[in-house]
Amino acid sequence: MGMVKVTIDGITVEVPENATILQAAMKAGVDIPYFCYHPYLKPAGLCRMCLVEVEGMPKLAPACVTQVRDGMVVRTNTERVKKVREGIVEFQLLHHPLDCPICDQAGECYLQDITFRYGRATSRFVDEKELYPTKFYGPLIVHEQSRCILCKRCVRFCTEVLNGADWNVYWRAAHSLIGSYESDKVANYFTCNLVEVCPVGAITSRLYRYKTRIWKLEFTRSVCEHCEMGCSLDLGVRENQLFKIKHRMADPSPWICDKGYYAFDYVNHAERILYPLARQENKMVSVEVEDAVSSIADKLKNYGEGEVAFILSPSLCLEDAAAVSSMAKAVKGLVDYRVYGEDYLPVKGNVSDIEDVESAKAVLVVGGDVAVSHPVLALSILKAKNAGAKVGVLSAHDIFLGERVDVFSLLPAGSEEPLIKELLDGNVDAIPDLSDEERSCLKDMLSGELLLVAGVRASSALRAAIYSRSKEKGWKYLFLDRGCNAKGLYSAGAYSEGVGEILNRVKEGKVKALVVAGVDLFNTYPNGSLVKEALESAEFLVVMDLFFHDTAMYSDFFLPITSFAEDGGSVVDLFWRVRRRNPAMQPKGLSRPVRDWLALIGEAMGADVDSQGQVAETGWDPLQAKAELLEVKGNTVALVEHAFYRSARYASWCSRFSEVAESPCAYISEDDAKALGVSDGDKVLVSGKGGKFEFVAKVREGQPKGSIVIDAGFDRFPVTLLLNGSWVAPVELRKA
Amino acid sequence: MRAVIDKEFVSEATWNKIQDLMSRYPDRRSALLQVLHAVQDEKGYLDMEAIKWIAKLFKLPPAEVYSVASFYTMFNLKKVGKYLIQVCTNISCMINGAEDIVRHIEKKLGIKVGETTPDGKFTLITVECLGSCGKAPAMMINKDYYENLTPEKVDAILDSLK
Repeated sequence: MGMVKVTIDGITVEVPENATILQAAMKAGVDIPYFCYHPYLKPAGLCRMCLVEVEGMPKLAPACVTQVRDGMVVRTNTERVKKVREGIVEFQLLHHPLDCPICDQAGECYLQDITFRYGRATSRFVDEKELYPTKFYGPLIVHEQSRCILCKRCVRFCTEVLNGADWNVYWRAAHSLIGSYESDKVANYFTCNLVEVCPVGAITSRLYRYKTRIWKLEFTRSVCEHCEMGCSLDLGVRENQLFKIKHRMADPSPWICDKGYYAFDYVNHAERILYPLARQENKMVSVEVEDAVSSIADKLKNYGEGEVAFILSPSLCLEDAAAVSSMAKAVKGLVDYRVYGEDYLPVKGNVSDIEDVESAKAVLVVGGDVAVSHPVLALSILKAKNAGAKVGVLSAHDIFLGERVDVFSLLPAGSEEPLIKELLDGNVDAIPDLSDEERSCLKDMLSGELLLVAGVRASSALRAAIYSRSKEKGWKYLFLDRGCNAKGLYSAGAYSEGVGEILNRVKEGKVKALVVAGVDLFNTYPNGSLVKEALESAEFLVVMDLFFHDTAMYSDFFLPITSFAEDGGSVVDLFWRVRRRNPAMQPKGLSRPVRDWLALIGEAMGADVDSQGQVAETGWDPLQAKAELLEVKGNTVALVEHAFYRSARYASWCSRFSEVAESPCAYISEDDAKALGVSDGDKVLVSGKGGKFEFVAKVREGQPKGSIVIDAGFDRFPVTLLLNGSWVAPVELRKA
Repeated sequence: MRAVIDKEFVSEATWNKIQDLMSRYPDRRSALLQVLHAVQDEKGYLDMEAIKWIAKLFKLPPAEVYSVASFYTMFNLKKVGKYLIQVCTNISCMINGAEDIVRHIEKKLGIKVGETTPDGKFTLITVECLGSCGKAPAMMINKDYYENLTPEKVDAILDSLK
């Protein structure tokens, strides 16, 4: 691209020929105020704050939408520009309530800064201001129309990045209102971006409402712990409390998801256990660290080879994983992190960066709801679509991505994997419920360059099929894992034959002592009764975690560990890059990282615990998979999936975040609904192997008959009892 | 996924018209305004149901369709009477007595501006310039213009609409 020379306030810079005056000014270091410009949204020229004088142009030009020319001379420091800036600020403030003292945005507000720097001290407007009532959109965001300056950043985010959402501007001119049309909630997984893009206090986070002031927070850069994308976050801490998360660096994506932005308040939760506990006659009592450590070490010493097992959360950091692995080696025990019952290990995809996803020609997502497991990746896939790529989603459950792409079909839960296998073998007609247009589009996708994304639900057999077919056809492939650091745990060697195998051995008495770190197995392992039986028959159980959850109820010792905000570990992201966290606050109480506990225990046992994690050069070879494709038969087959707002780590202790998902839903087909005589919002009963559960029915268009999707992750609602090792099971469906 | 659109929502004639409108543009959503008009012509107004139906037709979020429909004052978003009386109260009409006309209609129909008669026949609203300043005061009933109004003339017009 050709470069051109532009002079701004006497400073000459060289910029690409398609740059705007504002971008050139940024390069020259000249400050041009703006509201509506956003580096990752298309320029709109709405707020008129960036008007500048251009030599040879009779009128002032908006810098954010005016393209540069070679030899252009721009002035921003003239009397004319100064006067127009004063005028624009005066207009912006006509109906502004000027409630900075109670506004959460104060301190990071564009309007406040610009008024201070470029505005007049007084206003000539003497009439009554038009004010609007505060509106809460669900438990996460609050909207103050009175403070809005109509820059449309939020609306542009919804149309340009989300490809349309229930958020827009209504009416016109001075009476314009911004908001949701269909409900009093904003129903997508990216509402936090509305808060982040709003330059003023019109859209703010309810978690942060009236909590503290931005200038009192100290920000530390860290990495999100809710999925493998590894978004960089800035944690705002004051007096050792985590108050706010901001996403200031566009890494890996300029956008962030609700999990990363809102699901953090468990860090400050009052129910956090901050001292080691030990069981004494059916009661858990607080004990000294030294006593806990020496008793655990004494116990573990007595077990022989294969009698101790470690089960870890896939979100523990690399150093913790290395420590657990080395401890497991020292006691000749078993270790595994695949707490969701996965039978696969991380595969190194041939996609090296998020830009490879965004520049793909065609993307096909199978075997999982990407917007729930890796939300920001879904936005990158949409970005590829907007750049001209064809995108398809074939999955048994999908809420966000499917309705925004070219090819979408909801597959029957029981035969999802065989159908995808058939498609990979070239049989496009196997996929049900496609229009002719979609079918031909899918054919085109399969015959050309393709990026295949395998979701977290895809079993090892399906992964093997995807892998071998991709190698054959020269396609790109990307395999997603659960947890934020599965790749790191794999690298540290923290795996054996699966969590199911460990639990079975515990049940049979072969494994006598169990250490569970950072996870509530009742919430994650898809067989609640096996977890219960195993924990009951374990001779010795140590739980390391933040909260006293259902798994901890069975423990002999409970050791408090640090959350991601207090620990400086590293995680390995989707593209096998190591990302380091910085500790943003002091560990609360006597909590410490898993590796520190293990080092203490190891020292007491006389074993050396090493916490130096190395990242594996290669991934797992899926062709080793011996398992068969997952196929479940039955009159009604249910797929159990964590609802988005219950899928974050420690979601039960993120009060506002988990509130968004009010009650567990069952997505049922129109035919089933008719047969049962239920309509949207009615109660249905799902009964199966381990019990009976009541759900709110959601009748979904395109849902195949005889296949339902039910929500997991709710408190005191152990739907994993319905399952038998995989997330799909035959059930019975009745009207409640 | 095969989209299922309830064709019965509009009459066959309107459905055919919509199909024709939507086939005219390379970008389907260019036809949105005209389709909104077509549906309003049949239903008289665009309620939430109609907005959602059109949104599904265009594969747009209902919020976006509502945004367009609410921007233009020519779309009625609430139920209106059989006859929608739009009296101009902009400068030329105001100088020529538009306010008297409004008051007269209010008295005659027993409703205030913005209301509908109980029998669902008339809705009275005031609008900005109808572009008929030369023959002020003017009003528009549904799609017909009535100009050089006097209270007597208004009586005659309204009576003829019974």
